[in-house]
Amino acid sequence: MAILAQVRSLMRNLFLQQHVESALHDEVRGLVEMLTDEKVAAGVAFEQARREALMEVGGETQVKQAVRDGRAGIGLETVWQDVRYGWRMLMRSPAFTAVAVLSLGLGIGANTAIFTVAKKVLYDTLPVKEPDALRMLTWVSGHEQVVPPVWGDVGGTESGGLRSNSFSYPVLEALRKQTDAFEELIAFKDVEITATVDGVAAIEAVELVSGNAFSALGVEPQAGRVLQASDDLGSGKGPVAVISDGYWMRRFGRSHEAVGKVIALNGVPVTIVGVSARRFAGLQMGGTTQIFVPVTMQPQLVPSAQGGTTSLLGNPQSWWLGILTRMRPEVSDTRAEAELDTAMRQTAIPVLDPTKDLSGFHLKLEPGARGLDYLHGTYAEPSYVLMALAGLVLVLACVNLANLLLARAAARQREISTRFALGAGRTRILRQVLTESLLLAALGGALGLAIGYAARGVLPGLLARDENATLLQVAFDWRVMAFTGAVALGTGLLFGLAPAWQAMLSESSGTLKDGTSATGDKRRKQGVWVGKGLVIVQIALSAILLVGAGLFVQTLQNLGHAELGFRQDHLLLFRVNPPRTVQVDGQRLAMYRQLEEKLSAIPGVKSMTMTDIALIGDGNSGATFHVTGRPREKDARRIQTNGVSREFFQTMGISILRGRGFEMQDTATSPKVAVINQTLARKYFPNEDPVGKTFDTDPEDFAMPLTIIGVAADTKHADLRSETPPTFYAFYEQRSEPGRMMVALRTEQDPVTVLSAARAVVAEVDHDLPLTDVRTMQDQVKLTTTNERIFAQLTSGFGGLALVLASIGIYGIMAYTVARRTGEIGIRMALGARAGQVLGMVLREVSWMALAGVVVGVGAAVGLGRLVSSMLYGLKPSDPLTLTGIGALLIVIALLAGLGPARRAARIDPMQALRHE
Amino acid sequence: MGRSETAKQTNLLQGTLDLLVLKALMLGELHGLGISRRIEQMTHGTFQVKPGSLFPALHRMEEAGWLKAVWGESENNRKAKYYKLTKAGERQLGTETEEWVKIAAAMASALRAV
Repeated sequence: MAILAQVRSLMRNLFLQQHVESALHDEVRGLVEMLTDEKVAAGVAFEQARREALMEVGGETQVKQAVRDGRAGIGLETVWQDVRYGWRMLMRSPAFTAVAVLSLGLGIGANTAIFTVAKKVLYDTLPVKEPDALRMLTWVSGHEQVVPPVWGDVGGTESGGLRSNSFSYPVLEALRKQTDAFEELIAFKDVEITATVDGVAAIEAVELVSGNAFSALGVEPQAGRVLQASDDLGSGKGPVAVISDGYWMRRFGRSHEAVGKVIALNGVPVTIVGVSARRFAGLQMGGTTQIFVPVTMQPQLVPSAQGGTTSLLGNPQSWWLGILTRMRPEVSDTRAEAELDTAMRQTAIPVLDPTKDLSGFHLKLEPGARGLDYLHGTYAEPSYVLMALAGLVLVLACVNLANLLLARAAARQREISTRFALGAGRTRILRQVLTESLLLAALGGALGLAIGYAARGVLPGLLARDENATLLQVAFDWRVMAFTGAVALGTGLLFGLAPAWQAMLSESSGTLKDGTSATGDKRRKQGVWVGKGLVIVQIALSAILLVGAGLFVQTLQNLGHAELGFRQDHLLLFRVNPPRTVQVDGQRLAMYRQLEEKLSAIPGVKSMTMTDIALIGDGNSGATFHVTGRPREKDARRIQTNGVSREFFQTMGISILRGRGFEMQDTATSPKVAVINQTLARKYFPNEDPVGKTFDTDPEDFAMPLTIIGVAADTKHADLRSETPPTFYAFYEQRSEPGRMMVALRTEQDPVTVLSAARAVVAEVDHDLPLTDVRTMQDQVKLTTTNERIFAQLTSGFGGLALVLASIGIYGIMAYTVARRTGEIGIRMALGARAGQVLGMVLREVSWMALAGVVVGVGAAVGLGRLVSSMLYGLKPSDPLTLTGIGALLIVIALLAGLGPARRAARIDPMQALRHE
Repeated sequence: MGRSETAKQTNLLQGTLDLLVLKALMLGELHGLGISRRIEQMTHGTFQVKPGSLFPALHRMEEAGWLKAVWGESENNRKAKYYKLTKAGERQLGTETEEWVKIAAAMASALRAV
């Protein structure tokens, strides 16, 4: 086989090099000797014969080289030679190599770490079979919520309407009949359930799923079996559970005895039948489901999920289920969407409120490869910004390296010219220079990979808002490796181009002469121009990063000083979450009253309040609002509401501007009352006194109208940035049965000091009552600015790094320029230039470079700033103070970096410089 | 510039040289000098192959598996490397001869055309 023969010779050439070489030597030597013998035999004298033979052959060495050049694997061999040579060159200047590898490593490491997270946030899909064939069902409507109680998130559409992924069970059953529109329909709902294993209770993330879910998703069991359709036949008929890999490890140490074990979920015994596939953690992207149970177990496991009804299975008024479909390959999305929409409307419309606008109520198919995806919405923007910032730093590191290599290439011109003179080919030199760059890149890439691996948990840790952080599991897989490899290769080519080009200029440029002549030739001047251009780019990039840092730091400061409308100090927050099974009329209210009384009595607690949602960072709670006597607006926008206890306004330090707050006269049975905020008063009662007016709201909370008794000052609501929304506060005792509540204690000392007493009180009231989300109000407020804090920290770090790199660049290029112009400066000084003039000359050069860089960079920063303007607070991306400040800072730093070379120039001794010439 | 022109020339000659070497070895094994002499003789002196071209070709053809080399003694007792055709080399000689005849005929007819 010809190919085999070639491989064999390749191996021989590479590994038996000495043997092959000596054979070649023998062969060529033999040829010369044979020729000589012939000539001697013909009567020529030996010396003469040998000379003639050599001439005829054309030189032993030349023949051997010609053979070598034609050998298999010659490319590999010279590459290896280049690598060894490059390595020697790098080792000869260890300081340069260290700086280069370190700056590259930091740049690549930052990119790797950020990509690891961004991959999860932006690109990963659910670990299931053919995720791209999945669609997430969504409904949309106008401004008005047509579907009454949604248990799940209701978000806004781009056109201002509502959208949600929650459907009712009757709708699910109707959709299931449209079997020709889809292959599989998977229903799921994420809930928190108290799971008791061997007497130890803990709140766990549980996913209710339809029986077909595992087979439809192609998720296999690791042990036992997965859930199947027969587990999901009807209410309470499948008391079985499948546990996740994480739960298996955490609670059972991967023991196979877990399968078959009976555990209690909210007090209901359930048998574990299997363990799901390792990576599968539920249908929410980044979710951490621990236990899977059949969806028809809802009435038993989560009986009081929504208000009073026990079973949601037959309730057309309860919208709570997420639905994923697996599409048939032959059915178009449009057709499936139309069929499912018709089915949903047929089932839903008859049971919905006919007074509302139902024309815009439709079913939509959305991409389902990522399941229920909150990750993207929450983290996509920060991820893009962070990737861009890290990318800029890497480009900056590349430019810096290009500049350093350029200066070095200049120093190596003599070496390269020598090699040209000795007959090296253009491509060979080019390859040599590029090999060195790629070698540096590979070293930097390796370091970057190590840094990225070490830092893989840092960013998820920073982004995490609480201990149930959904981002914690980021995989460091082959795609990350591939990304890092590609980045390293790209950077190597990027910063390798400049010195390669410079090396080409060396060819036949006569640089074998002294390299610092006063009359330096045009080509080397071009090299300096490239160097200066690179410095300008560096300063510009630094300007962009520093302006970013300035903007984000100020945003964080502005948010820190934002007027909250209440006193955030000395407040301890925690949530009490009564198990859903504790459900006897009035029992829960009694429990809350008892809590209220006992918590207020703790020494060191000035007052306490309970609210549906905490003021900052706890989300929204929408409600309808209609003033009695006014015409009913079709498709009215929703406002915010919060159910609060009596002491709310005093405890939070919110002043009542008109009327009164909730007082002792307000009880569960007294007339229903509400306090509205200033924004609501301004919006709905612009020219009249709202106190005494009545309104109605969602009937499931209040069956009768509420009377406005007061107007409270505005506060920030869900976050620090948003304008205060119109809000009304209701008295929680007057509403339908309260669910979980947020407790706030106003303390005299450090809020943490009363925590243990508070825990004891809660345990005393009900020892099964879980107490979660413990934090101070100040921490809670801080948590809402997590992104801003990360940006401020990272951009400051990146900006600092940029400054250091730019300083190195300026110093390097000026030192090189001064060295190159030593002769010229010597002449100037010999002709009478004073040291101060020389100093000024060099610094002038520095300042125009800096100025050019600042102008370009600030211009670019203003342009790019528009992309992040939504992330800023209290200032515009073109904030003049930031821009001028950064510009001035950069020019000062540039002058400082240039001072060293400038002073060296000023100290040049004309005699010495000219003698040197 | 000079480099690229030489490269073009060798390329042009490469096929020819390979064919001549294969043909020279058709009758039996020969060492390098022998091959060179044999080619000169076969072409009535038109082609005088210099070792600088011949040896790279021999090594290349050996790597391609067309030739096999063995060490032996020359007529005047010098150590010499003898080359002979392998089965693959014989096949190669057949196909290259066929191709060359075709090209030669085509060239001849092209040059005859008015």
